[in-house]
Amino acid sequence: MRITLWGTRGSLAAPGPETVRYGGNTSCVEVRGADGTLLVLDAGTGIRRLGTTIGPEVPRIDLLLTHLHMDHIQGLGFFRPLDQPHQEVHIWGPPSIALDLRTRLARYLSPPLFPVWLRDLPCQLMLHDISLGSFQIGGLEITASLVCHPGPTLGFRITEGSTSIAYLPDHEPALGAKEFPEEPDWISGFGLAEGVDLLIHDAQYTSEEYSKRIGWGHSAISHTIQFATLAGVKRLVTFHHDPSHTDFLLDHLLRGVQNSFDLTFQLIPGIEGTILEL
Amino acid sequence: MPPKNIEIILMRQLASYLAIPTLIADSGETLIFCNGSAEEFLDCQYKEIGEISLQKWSSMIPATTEEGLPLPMEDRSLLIALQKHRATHRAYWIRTFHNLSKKIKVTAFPLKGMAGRYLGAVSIFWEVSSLPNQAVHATQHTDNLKVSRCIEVILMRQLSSYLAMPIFLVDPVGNLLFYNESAERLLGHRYNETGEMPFEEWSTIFIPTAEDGSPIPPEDLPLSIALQKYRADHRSFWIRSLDGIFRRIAVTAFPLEGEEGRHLGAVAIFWEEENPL
Repeated sequence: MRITLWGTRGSLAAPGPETVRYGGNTSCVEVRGADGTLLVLDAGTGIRRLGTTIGPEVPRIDLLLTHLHMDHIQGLGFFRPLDQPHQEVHIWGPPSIALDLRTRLARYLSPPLFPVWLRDLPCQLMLHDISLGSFQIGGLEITASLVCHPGPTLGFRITEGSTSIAYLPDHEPALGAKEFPEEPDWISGFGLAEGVDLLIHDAQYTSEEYSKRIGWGHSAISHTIQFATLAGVKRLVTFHHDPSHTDFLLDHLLRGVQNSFDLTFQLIPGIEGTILEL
Repeated sequence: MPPKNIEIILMRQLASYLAIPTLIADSGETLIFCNGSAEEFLDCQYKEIGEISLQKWSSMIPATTEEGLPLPMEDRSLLIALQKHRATHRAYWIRTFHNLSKKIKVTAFPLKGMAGRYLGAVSIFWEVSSLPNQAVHATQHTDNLKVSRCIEVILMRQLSSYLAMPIFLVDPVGNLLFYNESAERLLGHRYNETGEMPFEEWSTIFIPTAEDGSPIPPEDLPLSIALQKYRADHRSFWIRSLDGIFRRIAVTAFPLEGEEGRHLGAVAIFWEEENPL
């Protein structure tokens, strides 16, 4: 399994000289299976560059959306494969009680917010409301569960043979916990992350920032580390960096983590452009 | 032990902050949580009991009807909510772990998630003979501006967004703080189209009407009773949704009481009933 980080920023794209190393594009991760299956996790602004690397040799693209907040779908209209008439694209999104995925996505991909209607995209587009539980795409098994974040939000576990990754880009597992972490079966997202080879997890805030943003749906980096430790992951990618966090600050935060915690896993900074082979 | 669903996790977190005695059972009819207020009320320590079947729990807390007859297991409120997937509201006697007899009113409701999943049920209860301390509540009305930042309200709002049951959340003076997607479908309007409505507006805009066709005064609505009288209430009646359609609904409402007597508002859960005619 090959994982490429195309966007690791949260909430708002944050380009600029002070963020050039970690990157300013919002959430987008590419997963390639050994059989060539291509999954795209979220369609933040990072998906634009990913789209320029995909040619007609890829028969099918599956785009899995954890939720429909703007920073996770904003790049969708600029994903080049959608403009290709013979390209098969499947978009999978969180379930809703009231509206199907097409209707919810069309709120953004339609005037006045976007000049092109979803229905007018040239590609062979298929939309799916994800059923909670496991399903197969090519040689990859995907498990989807609701996790703690405002609005129905999914986390994914992707398995290929004995290799697995978990993707929880927007997640606040400590919400409401008087002591964190508690027993594993009472922690949001634990079932998805348990024992994975790679966890990509929300690490947006410092502890001080988090204390003023409880309920916003994101994690303090200390909670991220505690969650990853409890889940027994082998590697952790810190993700969804706050738009105000510069490269300098992110380096400082990660150094602080390494000094403060006895890490039981490899800590990987979520830097745009990083490629990981599992 | 398999991980708990997010809806159950959020409900437990919420219950852990509530001053109202609260029990949570899962779909396997296992009691999985008892909050501090319930522990105090029932004279028990849940962590010493652990997760047990509702059947065993019921034998530990025997119940009798108001007439003094043993209450059958299947008539216990939590079990009705679990098995019949509907809210229930009744009074009966229980005997606590310290062998004290207490008359309680119990409101129980199922927890229904997306895709028709019934995840468990919740019961809230309090002693019939005790009256809410009006003086404490009068002085503990949390500043409305801060209510939406209280952890209890944050948790209730987030829990509501995952539940398939229509839910209204109001602040201590009755302003509508939030309603979820299921409520949007029932009411015919999205929350971001109506926004935070004051009490005078939401209590009349849906034209609540009794079975005999008479209008229901705002103060007689379950959510108003929960707000004003600090107790749960349950009623069936008709409304006219904002899309113009008349619907018969059942409503269960309860106050949101935080620790140290903080009155944070109230919650109403409602769903559509079939026209009995």
